[in-house]
Amino acid sequence: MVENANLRLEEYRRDAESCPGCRGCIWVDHIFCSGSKYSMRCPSLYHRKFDAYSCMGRNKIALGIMKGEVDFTPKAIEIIYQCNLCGACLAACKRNLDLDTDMTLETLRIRAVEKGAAPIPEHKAINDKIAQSGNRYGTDNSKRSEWLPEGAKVSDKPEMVYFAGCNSSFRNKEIATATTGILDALGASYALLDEEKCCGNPLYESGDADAALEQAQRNIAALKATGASVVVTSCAECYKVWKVDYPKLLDRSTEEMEYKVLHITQVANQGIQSGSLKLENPVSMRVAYHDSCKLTRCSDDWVPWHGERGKYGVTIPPKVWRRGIKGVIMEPREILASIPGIELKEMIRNGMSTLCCGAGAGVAEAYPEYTENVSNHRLDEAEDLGIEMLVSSCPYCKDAFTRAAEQGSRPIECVDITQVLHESIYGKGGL
Amino acid sequence: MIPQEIYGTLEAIVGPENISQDPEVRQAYRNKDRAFINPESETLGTTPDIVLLPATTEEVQKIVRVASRYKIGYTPSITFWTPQAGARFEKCLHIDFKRMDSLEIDAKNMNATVGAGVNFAQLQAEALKHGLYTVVPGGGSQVGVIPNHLLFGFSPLTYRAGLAPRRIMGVEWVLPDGELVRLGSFASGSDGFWGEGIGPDLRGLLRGHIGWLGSLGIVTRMCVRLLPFHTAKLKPMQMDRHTFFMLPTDRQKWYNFSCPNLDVMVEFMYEIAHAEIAAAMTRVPIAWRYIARSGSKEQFWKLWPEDPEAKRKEVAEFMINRVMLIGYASQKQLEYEEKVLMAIAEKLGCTLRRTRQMDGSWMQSGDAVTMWYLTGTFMSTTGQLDSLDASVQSGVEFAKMKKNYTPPLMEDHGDQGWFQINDFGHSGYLEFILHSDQDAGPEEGLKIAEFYHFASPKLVAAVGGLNFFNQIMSPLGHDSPLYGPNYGDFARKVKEGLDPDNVSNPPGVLDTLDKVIDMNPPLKAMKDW
Repeated sequence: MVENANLRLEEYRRDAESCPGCRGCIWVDHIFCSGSKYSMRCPSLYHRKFDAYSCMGRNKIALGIMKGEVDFTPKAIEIIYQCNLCGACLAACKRNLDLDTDMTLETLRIRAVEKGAAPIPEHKAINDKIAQSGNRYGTDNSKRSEWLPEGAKVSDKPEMVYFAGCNSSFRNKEIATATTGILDALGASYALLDEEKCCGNPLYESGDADAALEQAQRNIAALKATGASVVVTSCAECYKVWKVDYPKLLDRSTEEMEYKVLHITQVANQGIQSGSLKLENPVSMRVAYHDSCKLTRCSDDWVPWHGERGKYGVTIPPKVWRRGIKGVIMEPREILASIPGIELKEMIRNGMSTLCCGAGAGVAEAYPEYTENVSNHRLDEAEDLGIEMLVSSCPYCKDAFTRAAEQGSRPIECVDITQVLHESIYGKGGL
Repeated sequence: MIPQEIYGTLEAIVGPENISQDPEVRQAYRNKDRAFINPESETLGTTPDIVLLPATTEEVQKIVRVASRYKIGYTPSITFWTPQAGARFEKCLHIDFKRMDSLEIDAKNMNATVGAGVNFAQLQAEALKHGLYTVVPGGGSQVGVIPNHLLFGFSPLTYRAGLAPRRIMGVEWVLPDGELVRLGSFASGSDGFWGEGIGPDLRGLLRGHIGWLGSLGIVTRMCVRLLPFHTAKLKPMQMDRHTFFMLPTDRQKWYNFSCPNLDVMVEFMYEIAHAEIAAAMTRVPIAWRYIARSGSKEQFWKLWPEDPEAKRKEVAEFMINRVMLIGYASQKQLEYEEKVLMAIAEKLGCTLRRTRQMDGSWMQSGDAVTMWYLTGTFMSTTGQLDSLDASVQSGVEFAKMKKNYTPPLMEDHGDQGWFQINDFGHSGYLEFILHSDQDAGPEEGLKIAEFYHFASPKLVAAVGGLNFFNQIMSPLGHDSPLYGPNYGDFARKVKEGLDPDNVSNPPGVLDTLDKVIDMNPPLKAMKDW
């Protein structure tokens, strides 16, 4: 069992007890509310409507479990896991109260695993595949880098490692290919890990902190072997895991880690702004950008806290609060705004008020009807803007939207930002 | 437990997806009254037996008929963050209106018709699109539109817009036996523009400074008046965790005036009202200023001066009248009102301070819940509606009495509370705000409980106020001689006439404090009535 006070449910008991039940956690920040139709930002509550499926309700379940009044019944497990851990409640609650809602939800899952009530079968199947094959799909991991295009300028002594992640390595290979194309255009010194393995996101978010810790140690060692000190991801979940969850599991701060994590949008935008990355080919489309929750709200730096509460609950030493507002928000917009031909529209729920695509934290695998419902709702919002293309920065968002758009025969193309960027650099058909 | 056959009947009404008796789902709807002695004090809060999510008025009627037939209590809820919004007796249904979220704006006639699940954030956002506005209450933008209009609905903007119950135009009301009644202009089958209905005006049965808190049936649809606003853009912004609107200063501005003393501040408010200018006015408690400056609770307590003498001086001198002007019709309107405002300020010796032109509290209330973050608890021991003079005086008396209970109450060095003026000077409002440590021990907890449940209502009675927070849970409330000798009797007759089996949000708004006291022996020893 991971020995880390920050991963113990009891550490967040005061947070759960302090919830006044205002329901602020479910809504778009009131100042940014734009009307009645798209005003909810908790995907779980949008799907199920009962308060139990909100952070407020899960707080009460967490308290009940800590007090021994509630067991990990099948219904409790369903409520706990019908949640994308998308940080909507984190950003909303910390507007006013500084309750660590995200950690209550995460440690509730860790406790469920410790008690043998989880991982649920759908998540266990994925976790087993990761243990056996090194990736979430159970595919032969030696074929993981087959997407790498011939002529990619991989360095022997890289400054950075491109960590493609399971999805872009085996499913949405065009994202990985586009990313290396962008890095090549930037003249970046990069390499891949020697037989990259899953980042461990499914392990951590299913509550298996022990397995996640092992995966973290394995991947960090692999990074160290390359000599690189920067990890670049194109997947929002991999980004969050490397930046937030590895330090969390190791009880260190993000700043204390030996490496730095960047999303490809940060790297590319820096190149665009400095003039080293030229976007010469127009992409003539009406486009909206979907903020991936893991990139936007869930990726504030991790800073462990070990202390005590003084009078009025004041933290001693003062805790560094993570509020879900320091993620990657502006860079993708600046990139899209720089691409000739693109007419960029803002989703109604954007930035820290974004609505998760509905796929994250194992929901797509365990509760596909939930993901379908939420991603369709998000596509309704996109359609109301009259756009032709919905751009995201996470392969799991792309999958969820593509599936929903195809099933509903919606006239919206769902793509990753790396694909759009690649097209503007190299022209259409390069992928 | 409610028998399965009744569950089956209810399930047939709303569909299997919209009903639950799972303990884990019901747990989320447990809402406790506060006894304050300690977090585990016995209160009336309990877990409902069944939770329902109706989608239409017809479904609500059917649910209520079933409840009435089998004499099962039910609790309606939207925002669900006052203790009275939760089930307080065994065998209760909890009716959650999230699915009843219809919202229609009639821009020409300046009103909105909302379903029971609509909150103020949604209504205000839609209204502003049409150059109209509503008054978001102090409880925050997440508050439900219908229940708040049936209550007092306060904000500094009620200075000009008037109190919320007076903005009700039409009501669709499911009586405790399931019968549907339409009030106001809905009574004549019309849309909501008229309000008065065909008469006698039965809206008075429902609305008031407290209203019935769901204990006289359920209002499923309401038409509320909207008011004209300027059409300039309120620009949403975020700095760190703070969110706010940047005000278009050619049409809307805040002015913070430093007044020489409390008497002058009150006079200043009256004079502004008599000049018929301004959109909002309020006195700012000093703690709010520190909240606005703080990045966290830790920072608040670092900034909040520890030296009591220095603090007392600061509080005594912190007489800030915060005034908002709006050029509803034009920039010239704002310019004219500004001239009048400055002339009054000069005459009374009030000085304009530097004022940030942003708003995160009243056009939309993004920060209402920050009241909790200082200490982990928040209580309004009184919300007093009276003349402004009387309201302010009660704040002074409360501040004096509070000294005897500090600690355990948070030391605020004599602050007289939050007050404001309403209806162009026709009334004033005072809310005396308390904070205490949520980890207070039993001895401290008992002292807090004594202040809240016993000393405060008695002081309200002594200063002649109408209290609408403690009234909910106090024998000094509806039954008080302050309401007239037979007010409580008549209210009870109305309740018994329409809800003879007391199924609508039992036990109702009356006499619940006695029940809480009986559950907690330490409180029982203090009871002297």
